[in-house]
Amino acid sequence: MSILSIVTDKLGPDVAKYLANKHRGGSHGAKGADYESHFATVKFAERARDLLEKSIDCKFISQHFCFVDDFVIINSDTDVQYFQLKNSSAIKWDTGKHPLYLDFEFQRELSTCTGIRKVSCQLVISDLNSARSLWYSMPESIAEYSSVYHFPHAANMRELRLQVPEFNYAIRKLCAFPEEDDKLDAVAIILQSVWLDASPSNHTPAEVSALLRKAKRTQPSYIRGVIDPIPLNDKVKEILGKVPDFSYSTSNGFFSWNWHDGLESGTLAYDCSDPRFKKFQEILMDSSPSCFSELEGLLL
Amino acid sequence: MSRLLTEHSTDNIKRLLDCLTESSTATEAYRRAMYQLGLALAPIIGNKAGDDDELVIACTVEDADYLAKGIVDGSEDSEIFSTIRLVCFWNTRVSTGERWTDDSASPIVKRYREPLSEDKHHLLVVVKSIIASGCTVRTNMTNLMNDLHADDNIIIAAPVLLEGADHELKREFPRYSNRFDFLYFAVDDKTNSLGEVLPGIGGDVYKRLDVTKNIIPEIVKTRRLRFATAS
Repeated sequence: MSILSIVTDKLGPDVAKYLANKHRGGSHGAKGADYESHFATVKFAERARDLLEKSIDCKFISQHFCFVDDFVIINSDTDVQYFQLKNSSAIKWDTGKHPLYLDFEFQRELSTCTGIRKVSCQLVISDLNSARSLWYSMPESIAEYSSVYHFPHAANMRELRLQVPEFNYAIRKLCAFPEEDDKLDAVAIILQSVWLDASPSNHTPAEVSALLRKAKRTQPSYIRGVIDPIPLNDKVKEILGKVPDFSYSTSNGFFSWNWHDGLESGTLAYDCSDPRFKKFQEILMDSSPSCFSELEGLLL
Repeated sequence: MSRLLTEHSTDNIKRLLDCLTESSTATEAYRRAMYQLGLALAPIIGNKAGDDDELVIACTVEDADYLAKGIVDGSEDSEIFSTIRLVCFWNTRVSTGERWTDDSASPIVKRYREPLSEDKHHLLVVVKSIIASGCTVRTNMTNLMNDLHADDNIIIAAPVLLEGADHELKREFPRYSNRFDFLYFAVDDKTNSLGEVLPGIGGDVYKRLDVTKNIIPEIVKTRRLRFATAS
């Protein structure tokens, strides 16, 4: 049975018409799109962390065909979270021709009819005062499964990371170099870039595991690897051990190096599970550098 | 396209800037112009020195042998600074799109950093051939912030700046912005569809200088000998 049929049957033809028209609207402006992609990126980071730490996967959908439709997280067939994003301050629960709280009620009804037992709906809003006001004025009829979340508008990923502690925490957990700002910024941008490319919709929801795999294939990614210690060939260890004043280490699957107490230092832009790392080792063994000046070109 | 020249722009500097933007300028002439612009920046930087300051010049790899070397040579000749230190960054770029205005980051792949004197006041000069988004300058400055003292001063220097780039950088460093000074010869206010500044420095600096991101600058090879053998 299609979604529209279910809605017609359970909520009436007028509501079904409203739902159909809701998704015929044009795309929102650039600012709204940025706000949504920022929110999606934060969720991607959080769920990617869950995947790495607890092996918990989920799916994302953007602009889903439903009432609370901006962003949806499918945790399982029976556990779904719905998010409505408002980059605005002029939001109320009960104003307009189609009050927001009714969308939440309809969503709960529709989800229940389709076998989803655990439903949560969240209003995500950029204005802090509005978020507080909406929290306190939330209609009783939706309180059991609804919440309000303040998510600030940010000019860029770096600002977002500084303004949203949960995002910063998740990025630090994903990044192979959690104390290095430049690598943290890079991971945030890569996640957003992968999300923007994916554009998961009704028909092709995106699994976080697939998105994360794509992010790790980006060069550079700086997303921590899962292989530790790095599989360094014994011959490579011998070669590197003989280069005067040269040392190396691994950090979450990445090869970092140091020459002459930090006079020069760096990190390979790919992790040790990448085929390029195998190639790096092969080149090292072929060229067998005996000093730093012979080695340094291979480190870029 | 409109360009505003600053009070530091002499006729000679204007000729050098025009040399950069002229598409027919050959590689060697372009390199010389960048070097001479660096030489021109050196005395202005010197005027901002405090007593016994250590000058720290931070650059990216493509600018090391030309613009940055000009500042180094000019500063060494003036003997204003007791010591001069060079920091050279190799940055890569990740972005959500192809335009320079798209959200981006410039992670550091490699760094050459001469040891800073702990007991001296520093004047950090972050030099770049052109400052538009400020992403690379911001990244490299952040990397060096922990090495500076609380009262060290910072100059961000470039031959050309995109209008507003200075305000954006100050906004990114609210705690440190009162220690910033900007030094540039020209401000441009136009960009092309890719976000490249017009006239800027005449296009892609890598192509104009005929360098790649993987080079090891001669100034690094030369200078590191004194530090690598000192210990």
